[in-house]
Amino acid sequence: GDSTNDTNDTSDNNTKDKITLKFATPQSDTHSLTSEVFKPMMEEITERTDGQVEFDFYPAEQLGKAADLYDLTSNGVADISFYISTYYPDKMPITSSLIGIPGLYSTSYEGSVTYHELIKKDPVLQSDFIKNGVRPVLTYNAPSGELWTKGKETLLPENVKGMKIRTTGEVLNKATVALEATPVNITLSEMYEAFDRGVYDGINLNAQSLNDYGMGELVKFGTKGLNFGGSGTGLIINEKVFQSLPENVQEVILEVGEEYTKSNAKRTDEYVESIFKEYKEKGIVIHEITEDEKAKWSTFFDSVEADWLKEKNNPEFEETLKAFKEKSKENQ
Amino acid sequence: MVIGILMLVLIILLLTGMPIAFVLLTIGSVGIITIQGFDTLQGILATTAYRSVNSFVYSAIPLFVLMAHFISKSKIADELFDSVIKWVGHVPGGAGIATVLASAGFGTLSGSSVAATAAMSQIAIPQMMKANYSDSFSAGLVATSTGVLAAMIPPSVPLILYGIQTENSIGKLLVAGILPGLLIAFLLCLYIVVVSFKNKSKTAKASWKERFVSLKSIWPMVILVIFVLYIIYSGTGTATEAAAFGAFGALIIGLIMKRLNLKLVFEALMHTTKQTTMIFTIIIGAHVFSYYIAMTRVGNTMVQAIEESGFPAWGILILIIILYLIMGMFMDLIGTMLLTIPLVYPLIVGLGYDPIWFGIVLVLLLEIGLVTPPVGINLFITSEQSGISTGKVLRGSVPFISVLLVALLIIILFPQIALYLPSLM
Amino acid sequence: MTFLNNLLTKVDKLITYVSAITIFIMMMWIVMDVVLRSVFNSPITGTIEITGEYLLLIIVYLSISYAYKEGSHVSVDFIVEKFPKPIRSVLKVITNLLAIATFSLLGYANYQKGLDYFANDVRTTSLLQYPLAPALIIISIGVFLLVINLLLESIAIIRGKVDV
Ligand code: NA
Ligand code: NA
Repeated sequence: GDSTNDTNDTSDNNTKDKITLKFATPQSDTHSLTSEVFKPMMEEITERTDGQVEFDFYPAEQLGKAADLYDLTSNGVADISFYISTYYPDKMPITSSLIGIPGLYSTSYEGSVTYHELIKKDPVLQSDFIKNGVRPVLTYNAPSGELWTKGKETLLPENVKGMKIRTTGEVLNKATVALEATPVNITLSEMYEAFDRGVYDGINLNAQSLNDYGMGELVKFGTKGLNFGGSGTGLIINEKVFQSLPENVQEVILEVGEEYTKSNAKRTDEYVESIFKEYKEKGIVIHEITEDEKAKWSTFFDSVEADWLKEKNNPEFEETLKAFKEKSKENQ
Repeated sequence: MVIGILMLVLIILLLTGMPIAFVLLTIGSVGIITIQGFDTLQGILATTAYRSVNSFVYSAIPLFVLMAHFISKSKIADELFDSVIKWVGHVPGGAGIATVLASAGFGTLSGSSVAATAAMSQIAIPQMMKANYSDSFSAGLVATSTGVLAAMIPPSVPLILYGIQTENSIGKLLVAGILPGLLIAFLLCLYIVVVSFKNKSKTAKASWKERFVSLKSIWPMVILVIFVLYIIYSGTGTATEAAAFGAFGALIIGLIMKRLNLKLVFEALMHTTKQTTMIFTIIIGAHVFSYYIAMTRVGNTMVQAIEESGFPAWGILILIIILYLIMGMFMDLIGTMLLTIPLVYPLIVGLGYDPIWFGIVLVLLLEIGLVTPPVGINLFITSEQSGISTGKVLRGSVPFISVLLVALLIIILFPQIALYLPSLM
Repeated sequence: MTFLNNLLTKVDKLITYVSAITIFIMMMWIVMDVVLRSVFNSPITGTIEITGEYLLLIIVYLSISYAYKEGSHVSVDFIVEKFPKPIRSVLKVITNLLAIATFSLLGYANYQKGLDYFANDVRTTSLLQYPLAPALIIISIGVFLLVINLLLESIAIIRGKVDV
């Protein structure tokens, strides 16, 4: 009895030491992820550890550019940060390209919760996180990618032929080429003007991001339920820092991360629904993909996926993709 | 405490003549070590040098500078000025008005305040002095007006940078600059006319024939302007891509007119290279410095203090404006902008001010900083290009700076001047 | 020393020519990309990425040392100009040493990162798949040239060979 008490005492003393974690994100202080996820998460962790863990919060790239945050977390400049996996094909070989495969998942909930379960264990945990000295805390996979245009309706793969489509990422560029359309890469900062003036005809983007960048003023037509690719993002913590934390704190951080993975994905899906509703009211034609159309698109997406798998030639990637498809049925 | 000492060292180093970029980089680095240690600094240095340059949108900076050099070297700008002076040179203050109008015209092509000032210093100052203006008045006018007009009238590198930094619509920002630019041009002309009734400076009146003949020589400029505007507004390319067309168009026109040769093209490229690396070295220094400032959390404390002070919104705005005028004395435009936006922007938006309008106010404030000593790049450039001493340029600038402050006041009191055109988009 | 100085001047100039030509290439590249995209529906793959990842990087870093030599880096001169020459020399050597320390670290950090990129074969996210390690090595080459430049200048000032 005595010895257990002793260990408890020491660990209690240890846990009483204040811990301050540096939390860095690219989103501005006013972004919905900041107000709906990051800030409440920090409060929750502080509360559940009885004030033991506190945060220095650096939003809006104050501690480094979005494309550097993964590196800055793995080398300890930041303790926790937000990653966008497409920036790191070398560091996140599976996440960066798997989540982008068109047709893989439809709602943010399905994508995020499924993937969060997968990355808690190998091979993804090792290959995309631990190997680089970081550990996943929260997963946020963007809602379904849709096609938006100012004029021409895009219903079936053959309708996209000949159009200039703004895309991002390797898989989607390839998919766009496969549709005999022209992938146009325009930076985020010029996306709006370029669309307005007709530099490109259509854009592949989820409804939430489209709305965030004010593009709702420009689009006349959009699809719903197309699932033309997603993107994998989330929060990571420096592994060394994580291992140095008392066990109770480790547990709280992972617990809160998992809870917010779910609540954030739900919130996102609800938000996306409200955007579609608002757009319809504004007179934007929202075409819900029918089963027939879905089948045609699926055939196309399957061929993109097959090519992609062949090119990757990575058994771990294939294994994860298979596991994702099995698991995702539970989270639809 | 440490931050106080470091800021003092920063000012001392600036005054010893150490390049601004080097000072920012050094103080930022030392500061980061004092807060988070050497490893963090190394981590930041390993990413910042690369990331501060790696952006497609930044390509507009060297390309607009290059376009200005091509225009200047092929004497297209001289002829534009010559024609304007034939039309308005004989009215009171004609040469001065010609300078303002030519600067506004040049402003539609150049997005770079520094490049425009360098070009107009060579072209306009000798012409104004021929029209009996003092060297100080002529140099002061160019130092204060050309850069501001180039930055206000689209295209505009500072407004593009602001748009990227704050994620505001670049298109709206560029359009927002048009009316304030015209207002500034108008106020400058008004001042020049009033002053000129006293000192009677004017050029010999050109005949109507001479005037129309002179129009022939401005076609290259007109074609170039239409070409660049066409690229942007027809949806052929983005504002960034239009910069490449501007430089390319200026090159082709110079070659067709046989004004440019291989040697001049190469000179233009070398000048552009030097100015580009100068600008980006400041950007890199400012980034490292701003990471340090972010780590001190002094900005958050300040912003919080201001927010909790119970000051009315306009009081805080005045405070911020004064802060910028002081900072503008010591710092470069891009450096100040990158340094302060993460702190000031959320505050301004939080107070309910329009972000597009603030972009215009901010760029005008920072442009004023380019002419105020001790660090005033346009002041130095005008002096260097015209051979008139910095002291004289500065003295000549004072009344025009006052005109700019009046313009600032008007834009603050009537935000619609900046916001009307974007509201139509 | 003179030999070293002359050599450095030549190297500086030569690689700045590379920067200058790169600006020309960048201009032509973007023009071609837009023309091919809008007229022929076939943009040049990877224009956005390569402009940021290589072209701008080459323009900026390969000329950073030459620009210093030419006095292009903006500074506040008119106060220090009023100081007596010996004080100016001392100040210049001190600020040079500070800059040498900082830029050495900048060059070293990027060199290390470059090696790391080589080891992990880090590549661009664009379809072109080119490696990124050389970009970081370009940064460190340019920065170390500047360091050597500052070093030689300081030595020359100490030996009284150069007026400040
Ligand atoms: Na302009
Ligand atoms: Na100033």
